[in-house]
Amino acid sequence: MSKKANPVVSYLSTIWRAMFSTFEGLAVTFSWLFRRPITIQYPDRLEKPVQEMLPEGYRGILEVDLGCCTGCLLCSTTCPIDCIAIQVVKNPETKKREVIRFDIDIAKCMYCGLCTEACNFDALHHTRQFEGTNVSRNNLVLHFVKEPREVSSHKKGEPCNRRPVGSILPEVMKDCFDQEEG
Amino acid sequence: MDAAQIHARLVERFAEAVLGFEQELIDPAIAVAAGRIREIAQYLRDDAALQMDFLRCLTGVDRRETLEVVYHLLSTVHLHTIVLKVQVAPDGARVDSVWDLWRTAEWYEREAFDLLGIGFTGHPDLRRIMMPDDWEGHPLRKDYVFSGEYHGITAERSDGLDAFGAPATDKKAAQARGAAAAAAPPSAEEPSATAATVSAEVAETTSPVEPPVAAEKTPRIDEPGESPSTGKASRLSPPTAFQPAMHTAKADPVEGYIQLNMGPHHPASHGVLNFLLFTDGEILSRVIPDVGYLHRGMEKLAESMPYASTMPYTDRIDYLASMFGNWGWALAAEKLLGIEVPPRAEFCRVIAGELNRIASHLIGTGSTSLDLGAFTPFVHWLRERETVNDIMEMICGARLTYNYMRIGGVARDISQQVVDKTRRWLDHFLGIIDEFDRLISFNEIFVKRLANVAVISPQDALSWGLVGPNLRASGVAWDLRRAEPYSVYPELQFDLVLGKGWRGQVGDAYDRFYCRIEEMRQSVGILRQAFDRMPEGEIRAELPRKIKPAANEVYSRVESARGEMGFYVVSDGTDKPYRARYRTGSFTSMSIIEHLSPGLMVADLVALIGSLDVIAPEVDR
Amino acid sequence: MRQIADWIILNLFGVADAGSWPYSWLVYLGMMVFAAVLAITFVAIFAGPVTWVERRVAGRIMSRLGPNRVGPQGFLQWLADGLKNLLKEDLIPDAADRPLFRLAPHLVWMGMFGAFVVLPFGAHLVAADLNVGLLYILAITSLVVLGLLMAGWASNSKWALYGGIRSTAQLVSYEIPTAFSLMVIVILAGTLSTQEIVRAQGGWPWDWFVFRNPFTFLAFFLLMTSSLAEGNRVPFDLPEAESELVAGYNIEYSGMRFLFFLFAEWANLWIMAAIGTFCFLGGWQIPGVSPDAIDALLARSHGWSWSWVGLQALSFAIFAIKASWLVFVVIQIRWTLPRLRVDQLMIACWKYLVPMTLVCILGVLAMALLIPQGGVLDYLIRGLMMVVGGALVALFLWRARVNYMLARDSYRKMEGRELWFPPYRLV
Repeated sequence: MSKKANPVVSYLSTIWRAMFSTFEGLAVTFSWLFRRPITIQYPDRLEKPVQEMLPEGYRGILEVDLGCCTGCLLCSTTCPIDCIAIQVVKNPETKKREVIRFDIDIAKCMYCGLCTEACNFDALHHTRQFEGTNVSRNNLVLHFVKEPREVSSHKKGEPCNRRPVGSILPEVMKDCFDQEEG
Repeated sequence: MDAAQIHARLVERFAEAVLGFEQELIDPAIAVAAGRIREIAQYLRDDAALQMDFLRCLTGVDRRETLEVVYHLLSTVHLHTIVLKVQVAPDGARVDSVWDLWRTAEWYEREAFDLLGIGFTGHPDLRRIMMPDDWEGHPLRKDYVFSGEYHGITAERSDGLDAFGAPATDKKAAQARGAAAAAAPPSAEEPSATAATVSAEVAETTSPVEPPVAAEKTPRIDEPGESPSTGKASRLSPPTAFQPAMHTAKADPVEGYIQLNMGPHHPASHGVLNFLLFTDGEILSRVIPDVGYLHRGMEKLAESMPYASTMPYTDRIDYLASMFGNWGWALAAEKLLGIEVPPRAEFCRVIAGELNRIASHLIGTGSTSLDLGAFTPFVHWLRERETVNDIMEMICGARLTYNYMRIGGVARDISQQVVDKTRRWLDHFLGIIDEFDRLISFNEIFVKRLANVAVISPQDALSWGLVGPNLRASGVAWDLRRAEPYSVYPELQFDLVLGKGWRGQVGDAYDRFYCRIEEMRQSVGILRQAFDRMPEGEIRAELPRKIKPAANEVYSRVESARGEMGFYVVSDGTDKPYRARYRTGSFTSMSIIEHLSPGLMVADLVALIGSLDVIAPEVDR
Repeated sequence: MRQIADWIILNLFGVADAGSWPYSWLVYLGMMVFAAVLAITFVAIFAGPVTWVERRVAGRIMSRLGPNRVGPQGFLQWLADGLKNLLKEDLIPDAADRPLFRLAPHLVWMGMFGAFVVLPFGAHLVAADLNVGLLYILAITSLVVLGLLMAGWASNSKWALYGGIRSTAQLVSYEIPTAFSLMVIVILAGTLSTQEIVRAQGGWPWDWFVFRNPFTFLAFFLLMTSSLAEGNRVPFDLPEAESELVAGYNIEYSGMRFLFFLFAEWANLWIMAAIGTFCFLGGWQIPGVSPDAIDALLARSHGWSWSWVGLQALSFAIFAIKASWLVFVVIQIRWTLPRLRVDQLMIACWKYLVPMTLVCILGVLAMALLIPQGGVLDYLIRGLMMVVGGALVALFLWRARVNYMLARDSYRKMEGRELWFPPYRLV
């Protein structure tokens, strides 16, 4: 306030502004007593599961359909933090390539989505699942391979009969999450 | 004046001191003699035709044979920029300090000293800024090897994926984490074994390894075991080696003053940062900001991975405005590669960016009111931000760390559904801003708490390298969207919001606060225009199969919510940056706090931090 | 209470003259203990639900719901919280001054609780109708200052010390405007006794002191403002400013000791509202029933009389409603305003509140001299002040409605549902 105000005027105007602005503020907060709150009561009092409230493209926990995975390792090399561990070996009997390990450390994963963009074969996707509470970080490593499995041989761009996104994850998570601590 | 003319002037004046001119660089650089840098810098700043009043960034690059100090200078008057470079020998490297020419150099030089080991002659307070005082080595040197352990804290995890043996591709990570990491992961298992047995085996071998316990390994200087209560107390007491190591230079108690540690965990410290307060009752005589608690070595990290892989990490520079980290990084890579971004992608970027700016200002202004004791406005802003988060989630799939932009475009297109939802929200939001004003911005107590507090003059603001709303609140019309236009901003209409002294003086805390409120209104306008003009088309440019820019240097900059966010990237022709440097707004606004604080009250400091909108991870990177 | 004790002596023991009966003191002592237990119970029971109300109101103001899980609508949340605090480890810092650290919460609690002795809850519901009632309140609540300073000092923490010093400066300063605005009442009522002050007013709003003349109207707001400061409530909660001093004087306290501070705060909320009520809003006065009639009822009935009990209950209800309304206003203020700075706090006190209360005292004196009580002019002024008060309330509701209407349509367009969600709709 560069201009010298009359002290009496400024004294009174301070009182007036303090009263007026408090009055206005109270009117705002009072009106909120009659407005709908924005919060939802997660997790138990919801109209539908919270996962279904999320948009389609939500970047949740990763899921791989091994029926579509060709074992190209693109996802694991793209991953900036190496949270995907894949091992593909040649079966000496059948001479076919088999994926024996496809682990995703969801504790390490930063959900950036670069791997899903790298995947040319429609195998790796983000689900809308994000709840992964556990007592041990070891249990947060999702093992997608239960037994060695032949890799898919479809070409880039070819359609792959992929199971719906989100349908594989629950069983994998169940297996991994129910382990003992340690 | 362009770089060549500036070079000509310098040659004319300093002849032999000007060693070279790298005109082929995207941001042309002039190499000058190490001994003359101060003189040249002073000339550049004071000459009427040059008036380089703004030091954007000061950093160093380890060129292996030499260390290079790089000065990015800017004239906000004549709108020209130049890069100065100085070569020094790696051992006992010393350059003259320029801290009194541009005060922001004080912290930049400390950082260069800390991370690269460059000494600055004449610097008033040259000590480490990011790393602890007892850290060994300078991390950004190319020959730096991390010992793998610091006071019992190791960089290794013994559980999670690491417990099951590292995957074959782990070499990359091992490099990134330093030499110590290489020893830890057990080598690849028998290929014929099934996955299940492998994991069981490895889990067995690793499980007996106990996690390192800090208390046991930490060398204690004075064990606090003398206290009457037994082992329990000494276990609970903090390890002394961690304590104010950073302050050894200044922390001696001063007679007649109370010394207070405000932080690292304090409700008003936005993130983890510490202020050392010397107070005379309620009045501050000095405040020493102590940063580095969130230093994650992001610049070092960027050197170890391909350009595209760094993108998600740029989210974490400033987590409240991560879109701008993405944007700056993408811009840097695009400039290096010489890629044009498709117009629709540019609009997607502007929309995402402006939404993010609103979201960030919501937190910035809201937490100011929270710091001043008004909880409700903050929660109301969080509520509005919730809708922005929902929109962001629809755009890119995440609520905080967006990782939306890609080199050459954006990750996903913006659908009509998003546009409609955002438009409806904007209509609603403008009314809510007015309501917020009635609730808090015009509240007399709030005004009195901010008006005429911590006034920053335009000269100080420039000298300390303040950017963004903090600079504009001081009356300096500097906005990168205007001054150095990028993307489609030249096509869009918006006003620069300058501090007017709404309730006090120009450049006071209230101006900084209200500038952000007004900027949100401007962003609403920009968003509406962007929706109207958005063309159809591609969202990603064609990229080379392998991103390998030719050897070059670039300083890309975007106007983040906290001002100029710069990415100085040195490419050496490989697929990874040779050096990446992030210049952020919070770092410089943090450095001015010490200058502003004497004479303020404890409560004013809280208001000051709030009004500067400092984000700790952006300071520390 | 004295009247009730006398009544007991008269009717149960058949002693007509309580003063000369040797065992009267026993009855008096019994009544005192009874009153104390009653008051403690009242505070505990009041403090609990009021936290629930405060949190629910705060929730709705902030577009949240607030606690709604423990018990019906979360009403028993306060029991759960209290139990949790009871079971918490009672930490005393090593370097603390242990005796003082332990003593401080009790002093705070005693200071607050002591004030309950003279609060007139109903026609005959007062623990002790002291003839220095108001002075007593001012004096006994000063113990709080001692307690807070003690807590701040004994914690041996710099933040706590700041809080303690701040609260001392604040409480001592704000005693003055509080006392001055109460002086207005003393001038009008001609007594310091709380019951007499209530009796000097009437049941109907035009008999209340607040509408007596413009200066009492102003004094009411000044009293509420300065008692906000006395009670460390927003915008004067500097001693525990959580964003500056983390939690101020109670930072080192935990468990039950911490709860004592909270109890004192809520008890003080009630005291603040009660003082405002009995001094300015007619206290327990029942419209249309004169206090003398209630006295007469007690004297006449010589025993249990349902009409007397009914009137007591009614008077208590009236008092409670008025005070609860003030409590609600204080809660709403807390969730609306930011906090003052230390120097501004002092400026607000010495430059604004103290002169204004002085003006009020002078004004009331002048009015008392110039305008005859009960005259036409007097009632004209009272009516005018009621119009002003009513207009303020109407204006407030209108502004609140404007705020609501401004957001309504855009909300409906955005969310596809109505914004209307009244407070009685609990989820």
